[in-house]
Amino acid sequence: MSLLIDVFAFLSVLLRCLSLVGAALVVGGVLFRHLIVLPVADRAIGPTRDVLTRLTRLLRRSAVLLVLTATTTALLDSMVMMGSVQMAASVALSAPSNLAALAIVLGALVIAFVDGEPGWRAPLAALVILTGMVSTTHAVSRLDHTALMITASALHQIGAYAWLGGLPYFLVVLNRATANERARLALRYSHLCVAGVTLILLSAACKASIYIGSVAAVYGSQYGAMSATKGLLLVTLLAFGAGNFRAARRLATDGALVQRVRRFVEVEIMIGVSVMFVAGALTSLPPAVDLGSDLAPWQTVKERVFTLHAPRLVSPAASELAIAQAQARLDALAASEHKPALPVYVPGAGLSPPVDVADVLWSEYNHNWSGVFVLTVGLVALLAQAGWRPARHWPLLFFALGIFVLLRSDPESWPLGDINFFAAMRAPEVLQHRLAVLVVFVFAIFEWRARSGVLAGTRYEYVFPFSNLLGGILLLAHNHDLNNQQEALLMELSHLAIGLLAIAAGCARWLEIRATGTIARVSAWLWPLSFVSLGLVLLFYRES
Amino acid sequence: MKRCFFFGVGTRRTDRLSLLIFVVALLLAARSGPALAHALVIASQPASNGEVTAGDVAVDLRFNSRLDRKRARLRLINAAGEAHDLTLQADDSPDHLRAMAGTLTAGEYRIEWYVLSPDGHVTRGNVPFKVKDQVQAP
Repeated sequence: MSLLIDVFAFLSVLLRCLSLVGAALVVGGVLFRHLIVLPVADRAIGPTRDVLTRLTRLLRRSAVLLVLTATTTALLDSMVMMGSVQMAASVALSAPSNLAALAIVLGALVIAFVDGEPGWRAPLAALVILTGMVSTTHAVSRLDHTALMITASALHQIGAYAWLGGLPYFLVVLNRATANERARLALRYSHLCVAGVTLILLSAACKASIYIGSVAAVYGSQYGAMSATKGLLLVTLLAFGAGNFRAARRLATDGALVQRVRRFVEVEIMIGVSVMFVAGALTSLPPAVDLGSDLAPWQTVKERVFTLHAPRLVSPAASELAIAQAQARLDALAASEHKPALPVYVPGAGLSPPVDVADVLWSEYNHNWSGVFVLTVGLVALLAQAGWRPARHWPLLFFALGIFVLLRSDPESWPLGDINFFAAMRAPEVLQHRLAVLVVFVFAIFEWRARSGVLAGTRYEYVFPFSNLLGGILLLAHNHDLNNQQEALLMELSHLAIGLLAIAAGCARWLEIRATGTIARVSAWLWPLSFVSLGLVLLFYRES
Repeated sequence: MKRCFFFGVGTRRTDRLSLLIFVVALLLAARSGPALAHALVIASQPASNGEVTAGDVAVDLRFNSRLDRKRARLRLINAAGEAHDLTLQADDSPDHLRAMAGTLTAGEYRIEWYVLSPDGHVTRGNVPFKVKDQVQAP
């Protein structure tokens, strides 16, 4: 069990992110139903009844999702505590975070099963869920500004839940309500969104000043860089939101706008989920102000990330890597003493593997050649968009990329190294690489079949946007090495850019499939351009 | 008005049950703090990669946030990989873990720490240090 702690910690972060999505859907759904729909809806009228029924159904399903994610997170964390330090089950299960999870589960159960639609139960349950979520943020553990930060965290979550959590419910209204009702509810929801955005911006400013503290910490720490990424996603959301805010005022007179608003809301939901995952991943990082002098200086960031060097297209041999070298020395020593050789590196044991110059060159080679593959994919996809028919087979290039990453990303394990293929996945980084390869293969298969006509026009076309979104989200919420903050940051800056570009490609392809007219035409060029940019980031990636 | 029922339980009973659940849930949520932000050692004695003189060695780790002391663990590991758990000292400091490592002879050691993170999972780290022999006075 102790060898699985790091993997469980990574899974725990992902589950925490999913719980945040669940909480947003539940609290946002309650706010939407009780502040937007119920005060004005005539529940006796047929069409409104239908909308309310659908809203409540979505709310209950979201509550079930929250019950599952919060329960799984609590059980997983307790198992880690019991397995890693032989903690008694009663001590592990009564951990503060598990009590908070229990409160969240109870609140969600009430909404899922005994929710009296217009009554007080759902709002009270939402309050319990909010309290539980806030009590597991950084705020409650700070040694200073505790009350201020708890207030800021609560307001931040209320704002996000009201705006982003309400989006799927707004989509139900757009799809199901009558024209008049749709226009009236859209206007009411736009007011709630403005209030939510105001709360988010005010509390974000407070959190940034206390947790980040300086401009140097924005680019010099993982917490700062991820917060800036969250800010970028927020700006994108605000752009879509502003479009919808203006459209909401014209919905009553311009029925053609509904289609555009629907598509924008769908993209907002995709970006909103990404924001929730970044927010969840942020909770697993120490605030930037706690790093003291361990921030990466601007000169280092500039040299490593913003200075172009020629791509590294020649690799050192696998036998030159630090683990292989150290293992060879240990084997020779053990042989001379007639003792069995011990492994120099055990995945999941909690100690970072040795790293040498050859390892850095190996990693740069992997990233830079991956850049060549992705850049080629982007350029060939652009040719396909321009009408060159043979170029429609561009997804096949992703198979080559997947096989390349599978073979080279973790040389200490099979097929290049001695460590068992499955045992290697006790290291979260290896697990993430293999998940990424799986996503690439799935994406490549379905997109190729969709492009070559067999699955064209079917729902399998959506594998592209979803796999891009999933890949981008996994990169944004990936594991963080707390033992070497500066090095982890320098690698992460590139990974954040790649994650954002993958999400952009997914959203653009979604709009190409779902929207019509200019939006679809522009989006059709945007996603190949995202791949080209992504390829360039990888092509010039540096670790030295 | 249509009311929602859970397995056919009547309105009044459901209301009482709901109220009870809310009270319990709010108490749990209120009791759940303080949790621990992702823990980071910001100062330590012995210092990370530092040296101390052979003899009784006191361990003092300072973290960046409050700690859940009940669920924290310290372990001393020597160069041969032999580990033994350290007993945490009673302490009022919310951000410190203190223990006596015992009488140490010259060699390489590391202190392995386990603490609870804000989202409930265990985070861990190591503080490596060396013990050198006492210098004899001439």
